[in-house]
Amino acid sequence: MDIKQENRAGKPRRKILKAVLLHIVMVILSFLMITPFLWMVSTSLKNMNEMYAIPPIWIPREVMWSNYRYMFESAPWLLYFFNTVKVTGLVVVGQLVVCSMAAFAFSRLRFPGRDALFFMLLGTMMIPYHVTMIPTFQILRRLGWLDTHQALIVPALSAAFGVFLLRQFFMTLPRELEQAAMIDGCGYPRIFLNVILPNAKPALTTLAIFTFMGTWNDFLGPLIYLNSDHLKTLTLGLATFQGVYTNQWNYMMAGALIVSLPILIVYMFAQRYFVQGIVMSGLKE
Amino acid sequence: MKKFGVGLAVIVLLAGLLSGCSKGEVTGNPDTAGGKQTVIRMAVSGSEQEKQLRYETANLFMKEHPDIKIEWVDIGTERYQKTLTLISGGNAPDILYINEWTVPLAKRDVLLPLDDYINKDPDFNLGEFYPSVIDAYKVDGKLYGIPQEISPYVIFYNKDLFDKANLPYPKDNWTEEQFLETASKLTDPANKRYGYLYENFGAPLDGFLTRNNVELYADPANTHLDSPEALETLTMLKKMVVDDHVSPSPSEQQAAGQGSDAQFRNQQVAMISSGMWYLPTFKKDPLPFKWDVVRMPAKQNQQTKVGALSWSISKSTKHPEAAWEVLKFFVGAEGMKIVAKYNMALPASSNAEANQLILDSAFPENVKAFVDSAPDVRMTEFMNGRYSEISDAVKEIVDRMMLGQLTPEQARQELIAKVNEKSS
Amino acid sequence: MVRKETAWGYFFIAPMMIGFAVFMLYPFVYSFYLSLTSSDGIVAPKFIGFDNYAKLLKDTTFLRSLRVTLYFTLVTVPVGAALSLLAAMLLNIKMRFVTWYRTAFFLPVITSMVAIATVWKWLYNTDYGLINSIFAALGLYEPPWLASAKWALPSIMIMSIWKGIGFNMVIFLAGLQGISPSLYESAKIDGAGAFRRFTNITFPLLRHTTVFVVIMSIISSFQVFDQVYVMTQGGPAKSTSVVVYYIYQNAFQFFQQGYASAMAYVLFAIIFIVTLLQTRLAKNKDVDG
Repeated sequence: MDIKQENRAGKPRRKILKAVLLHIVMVILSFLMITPFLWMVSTSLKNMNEMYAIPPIWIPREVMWSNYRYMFESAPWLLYFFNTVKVTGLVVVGQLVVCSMAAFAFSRLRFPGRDALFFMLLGTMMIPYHVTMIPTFQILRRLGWLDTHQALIVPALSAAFGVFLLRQFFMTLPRELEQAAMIDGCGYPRIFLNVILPNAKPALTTLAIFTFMGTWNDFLGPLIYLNSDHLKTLTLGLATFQGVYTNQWNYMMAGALIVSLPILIVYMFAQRYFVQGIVMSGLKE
Repeated sequence: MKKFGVGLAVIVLLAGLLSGCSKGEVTGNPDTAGGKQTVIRMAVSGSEQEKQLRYETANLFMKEHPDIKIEWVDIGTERYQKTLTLISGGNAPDILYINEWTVPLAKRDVLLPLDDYINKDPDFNLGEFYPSVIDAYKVDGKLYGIPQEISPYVIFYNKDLFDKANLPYPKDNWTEEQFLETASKLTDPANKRYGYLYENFGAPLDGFLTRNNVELYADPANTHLDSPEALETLTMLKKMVVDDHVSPSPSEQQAAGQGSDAQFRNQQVAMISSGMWYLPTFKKDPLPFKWDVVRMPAKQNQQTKVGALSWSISKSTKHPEAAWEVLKFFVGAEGMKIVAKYNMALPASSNAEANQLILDSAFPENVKAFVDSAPDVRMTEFMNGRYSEISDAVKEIVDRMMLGQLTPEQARQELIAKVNEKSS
Repeated sequence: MVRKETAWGYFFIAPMMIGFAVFMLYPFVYSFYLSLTSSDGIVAPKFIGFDNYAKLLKDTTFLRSLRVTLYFTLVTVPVGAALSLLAAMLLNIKMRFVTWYRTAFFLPVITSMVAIATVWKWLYNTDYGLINSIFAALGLYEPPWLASAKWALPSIMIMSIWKGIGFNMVIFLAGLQGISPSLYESAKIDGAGAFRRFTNITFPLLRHTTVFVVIMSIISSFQVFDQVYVMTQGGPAKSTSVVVYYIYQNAFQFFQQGYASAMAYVLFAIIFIVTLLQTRLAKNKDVDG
């Protein structure tokens, strides 16, 4: 009782002090995290001579907005953008469906061979892609999928990472949730759709963010499986600024910034679901 | 049990897919029977400018040959990964862009020997090509690739810094001793400025050894690594980089994270060695000082290393004749003139018209240094099937010498052991 | 009842397992087969049994790369996981601008590795880098960072941890949303301090999330490649040559696909065993089954 009283008395000043301290710490830490990003912004606005200046210059004397114009004019970016949106969108949606179904079975149902199959899935993540790239390419060739978008979409749907992530989250949901539903006569599909999925929004959001980011930024996949210009994705477009001997950093950074902007927007938007998660699980108590 | 059933079904399905489609070539093209176009798939890579050069050449070709269509296969920045995947995945482009991989791939029987096409083609003159360059694409006397561009290493130097140090500009016939002396006079430790940027891998390292008659990539009996010259050059390199410190050390360069073009541009170094590939950038974004180029300094000879671009025809091509037409055009007079126009490499042949275009560009003033170096290029490393493996081991050994972990003599012994081990 | 659950179980994993069988199982099995051959990636592979594995045991470059990778993993996994958890707990506090702070922490994850590498190289620069100028001002020892065979790997570790914090932070943050605030309130009423609340509520309830983060970190640390490829190419003097970098070189530069596959399988075996131990450990701690 007297703890509460004391709190009430000292609350405003101590709370404000605490908040200010917290914000100072957060600002410093945030600054540590965004420095390279700021450097990208700065480099993207420099000319060649300032770009390589020693010691480095943070604010260019002459701000080269023209780098962005040059970058925009260098490739059919709108086409690349739509290609990337198509591939990324389908992979995110497809992966959420496929992985959440599998994760549901691996975490909430019992069936023979369950753990062995799950470990097999995990196992495929432990082999570096450098040795599986050629056989994967052979499969896609046999399927006639080389130089098509499905080569980037379909194999990405069965992602072991996604199953593992969702399984771990589904496991934290209390058993009572589905027991109550079972008593109400719900089958497994209903439990999956009406009980598990609504309670796993933070996890599904997390997977969506990662999948979005991974697919959007994927470079090696499109590079190996695509040849035609009209199918290319944004990351391949960026590579035009990379020569064998020289890199045009200022254009590359300008491009990289524009390309990563959608990920940032999606991430900030997706955070809303983190808060919703609290509300939902709070209600279930 | 059920699980096995499902698994079995899936595997059968998979096997069906794998074997069922083996006949229907996905990207292959119907033959030219009905006056249709033959499609030649050609690999392309490099910067925007480099691709522009290819596109221009191809367009010119297709105008002259309406029956052949060139389709690009962009192998992008990870050239080796994509090329190897395409080949082993059974989807190799008809014309490959492989450069230093020509010999290793020819030895693995994936390239078409070009001799028959050359011999029966009256308009093609192999004699125009520099012999030392052409030899780099031969296996057992058969030719598997023809270069379109070569770019000999020369020294780029900052004239302003020479003026400041009251040094005369170097001449094309200078010697290694003069070079070292110049580099040391240009070094200014107080301002963290170095006379030269020695890059400790591939061409720059091999170049200094080659000019002293040591050949890392010759067959083990002919490397001359056991000669006094080998020790002399290793000692010279260590002295230059570590003791006199007229060049940033390899690890300092690694840490600086800037290429030689950047360190030349920001005047941290007064001289660098490089090929012509920097010229387009130096033209578009001019350097903030006066500069020029000069040949690599002579030791026992004045040979130099080179960056080269060559084309080969895939053995699996369905249209060897058409592919030869394309290749011939790219390395012929027309193709060479376009190369010269772009000013980012030398034409790989001595074609007078094309080389005159380079000389006329007068960019930089002494651009002649590139042309004059061409007959002296030495490409032993191209002929060694295990070049990348050996050069990786060599780099490590010389790195350790530069870090002070090995004396030049110890480094030499390790080099001998490594080269022998890798060649066996 | 049980049979129905079994049938539904297979139904729910079916889409996943079909994709898995077509696109992952074959490459997985095929690369193991290649590890038993002298494949160069081009010519039809010749079966040589376990020769590649025998050769690996004597390959000093490989053994050293294994040591480098192990060292990298031992440092980055625990430190990275702990810092991410700390960051997630900080960013789970209700405060203004929290969305912005969370975004800041996530930025390194989406920033391209090439951009990050250039900035960190500059930060690490011994002549004019930010880090050493701060160290100099404080009178501390100024490490030679990427320029030295001893410090290059720690430099890469620090950068990797920094880049990875945001990734794991998001996962922990999602995990923290599953913990009901009422638990903390009742603990507060019982007089539990912040540390007790962490050990008694947060940590146990985040168990499954932590298992995920740790296992994924182990899997990805053992396969570290991009940072090395962009920042040091394995140097100086191979001090940062990690296993996957050596695999990459063998597979795509040295024409040794079979040998590279054998290395990949040794790496696989190590990761698999560590993961298995890790899940066993996690299960033992599991009190409520």
